[in-house]
Amino acid sequence: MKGKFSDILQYVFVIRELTAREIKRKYARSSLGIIWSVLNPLLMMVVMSLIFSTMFKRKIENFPIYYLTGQTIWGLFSGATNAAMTALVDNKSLLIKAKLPKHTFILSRVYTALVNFGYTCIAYVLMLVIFRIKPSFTMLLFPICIVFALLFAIGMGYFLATLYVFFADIKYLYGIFLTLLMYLSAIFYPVESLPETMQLVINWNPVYLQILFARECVMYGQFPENWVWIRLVIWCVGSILFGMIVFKSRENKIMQTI
Amino acid sequence: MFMAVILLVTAVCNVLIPTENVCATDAYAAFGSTSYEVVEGKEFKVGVYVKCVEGVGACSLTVGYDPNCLEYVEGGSGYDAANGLVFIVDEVGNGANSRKFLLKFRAKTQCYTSIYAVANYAYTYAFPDVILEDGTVVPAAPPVECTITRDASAPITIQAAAAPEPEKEEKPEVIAEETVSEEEDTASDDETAETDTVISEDDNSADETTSAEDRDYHLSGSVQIDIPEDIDNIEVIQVEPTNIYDANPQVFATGDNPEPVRTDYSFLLAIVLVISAVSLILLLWLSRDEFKARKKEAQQYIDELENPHSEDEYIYDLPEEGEVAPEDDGLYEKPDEYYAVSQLEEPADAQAVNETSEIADHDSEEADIDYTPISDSYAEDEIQFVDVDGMIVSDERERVISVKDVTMEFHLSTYNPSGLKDYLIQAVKRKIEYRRLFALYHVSFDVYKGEVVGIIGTNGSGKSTLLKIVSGALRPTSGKVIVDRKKVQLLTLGTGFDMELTARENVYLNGSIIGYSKEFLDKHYNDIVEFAELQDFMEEKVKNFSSGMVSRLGFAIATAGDAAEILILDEVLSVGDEFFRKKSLARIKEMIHGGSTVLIVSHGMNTILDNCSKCVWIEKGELRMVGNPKEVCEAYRHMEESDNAVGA
Repeated sequence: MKGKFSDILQYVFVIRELTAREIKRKYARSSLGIIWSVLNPLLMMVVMSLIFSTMFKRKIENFPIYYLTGQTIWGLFSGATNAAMTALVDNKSLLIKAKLPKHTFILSRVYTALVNFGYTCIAYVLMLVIFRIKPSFTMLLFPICIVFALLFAIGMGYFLATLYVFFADIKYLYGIFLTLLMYLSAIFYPVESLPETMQLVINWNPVYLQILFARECVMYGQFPENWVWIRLVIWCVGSILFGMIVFKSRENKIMQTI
Repeated sequence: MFMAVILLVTAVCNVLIPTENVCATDAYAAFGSTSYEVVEGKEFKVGVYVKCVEGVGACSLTVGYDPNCLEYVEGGSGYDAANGLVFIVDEVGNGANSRKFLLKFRAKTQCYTSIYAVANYAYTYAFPDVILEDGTVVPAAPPVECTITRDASAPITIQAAAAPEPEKEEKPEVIAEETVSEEEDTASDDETAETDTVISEDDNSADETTSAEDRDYHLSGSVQIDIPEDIDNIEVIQVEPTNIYDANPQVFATGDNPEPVRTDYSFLLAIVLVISAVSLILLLWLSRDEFKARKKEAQQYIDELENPHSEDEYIYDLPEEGEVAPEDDGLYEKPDEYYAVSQLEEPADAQAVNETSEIADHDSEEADIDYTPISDSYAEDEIQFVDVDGMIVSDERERVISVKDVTMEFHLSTYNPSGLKDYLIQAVKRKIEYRRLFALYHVSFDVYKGEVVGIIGTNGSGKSTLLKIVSGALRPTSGKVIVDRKKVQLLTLGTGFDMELTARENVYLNGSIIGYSKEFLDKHYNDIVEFAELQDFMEEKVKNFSSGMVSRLGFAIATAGDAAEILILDEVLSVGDEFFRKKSLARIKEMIHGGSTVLIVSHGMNTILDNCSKCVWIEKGELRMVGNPKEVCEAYRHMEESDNAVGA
């Protein structure tokens, strides 16, 4: 029992160290460093608001917050999956040494994205205050939304990391896929402006569901509808199971190929 | 930090500015065209607009014209024919950002004149209160009087009836006007654009249609449209939206332009989605299929290996299970044809055959060399090994590592597709070739507690693979390694260091991965630094280190604690300066005394001879010899020399 506990402690320690490395690396050559994690979404919000807020003003009240909510959730997903994809290949040399399970590296990448998301949230909360979004109890649901987003990203991360070992081109394919998914996530436009059939598709988009969840509970102070919950749970469980199975079944092959 | 604050403030300001524009309540009057050209004696329609971004509500207009040139026919709520005035009053409005009134005039005589429009007043639309599902009523904003910003005027040219100008010439002007006003208005609202594209232009009568084909043009957003030149008649069918959010006026244009201007984009999107989904599924399916095929092939292959002297073209002469090879002199003569080349579901092609025969040639050369068999005392029994002192050691000591019949097989792709397309084509044709490489081939040996085992062999003979299997990083294709993974520590040089991080950060990163806890690292940090002799460089980035410094640090971290019961050193002892080498050797010896079991991979014969109590020689994946370092090293040297002789 004690051994198990110290194992977990060690696990956490490794993930923290790996994450610290990722973040230090990422901002190693920039002078503002981690502040960029806060600034980047803000500046993006400004740009997007300048371009789109007038266009959708009648349909979206408070466009900057509408966009920022979508962008932070989207950033978490795309950042986590993109980084997790290359986690195994990038840490080739460490993989051989590590005594901990190999998926530590994938988890650490997702955790890195979460830390980045944390900094982004600073900007988000600041904006919520500036734009006078009324605090409501439903805001307490926001962490649940993050859990959903994380679970989904972890599942995808397992799958992508495994695939990337065998098929490096997936990196480029996934880039295209991410763009497609982003435009299907209604980050900067109202879903109502799309035709019915497209709305049906978008309402099954896991990332859009997460964004919708966040908007409902933060912006509008509403409890997300049941179908949103159900679909999110389906996506998360499905993603995690799928990712785990793919990863576990290929675990040995991964070490051989790397 | 200061910069960050400035940027933040700018960001906030920028965001706040557009929100002020939201409250603007400007209204103005406008005509549908910048100019009109009509023919004498005919009736024509003029579109007069009241525009307000917030949605037009109650409004009033006065349109002035020259009574000498024009005659008012219909469209307004009142008129004064003597002074040339038409009055328009709308008590409700339509809520869209543009309210349109159609006035009909008749051209009296040939002349140049103009009409003008003045908005008397305009209010924003009185939207109804919104009633939510739960019954609560959200009151809508009350109408606000707009500021009238400008009036409109348009010149009118009335031509003689005898020679009517062709209609087409005036069209470009109209279109130009239209796009300009669109661009202006999209800046404020998308709906403006929608309504704005509505043009009412009629030379003789609205009912006259010249073409059989009617087309629908759905205009939305800020799309700039090119109206085909052949259009004779554009007419607004529906301008009064029931719900402003769905405001989608349909413009029906009649013309005989053969090409549709715009297809339904949702259909396109759906196609793209389907294509991408299908291609993804196809990709996954392909790779899955391929893995399966490879697995199957591998299984067949292994089956073949386990049945030597089968009818296969390759012959595998295997040592008996559990038997250590060197006993048999003939072992060295067996053809090492494990560098086989195979193909997925296709017989080996000519190239593959060549490759195999080449390998076979090479091996037959090697087979001619006579190796001295090792001492009988060793070979008699698997579990008896010759110690350094020549004493026979029994199985009584604790066995720490037990490598049992380990085979490791790699697939090496011999074909590198230049791209995805190429890859897919080859995958479909089943032409991707894989070379099977046995990095290890039925290797068995045991390591006992406290032993220092040297592993020798030429480059690429599978030493590192063996270490990786022992440390647990790789799982063997077949066979077993019995070892407590938690006690194993693998030390290879230059791996696992992040060049962008400082030495201190690397100590923690590397230490955590090796398995040290934070407390342990905190406690031993100074020892590590001291041992690596890098006191002044710990805050320096590792990328600025020399390779010797990096390896010193790596060694210091790996040997920091007495935690490692089994230490695996991969080419570690032959680096660093003479001084450090001595120091690290001393450290290793210290650990041996402390009860550590050490596996050393080295090319330096002296390192092996000086430190090891046992030596394992692996050649091309096969175990050649296990035993006394002196004898094994001698045999190894012998082979090297003869190899060189053959090579010369």
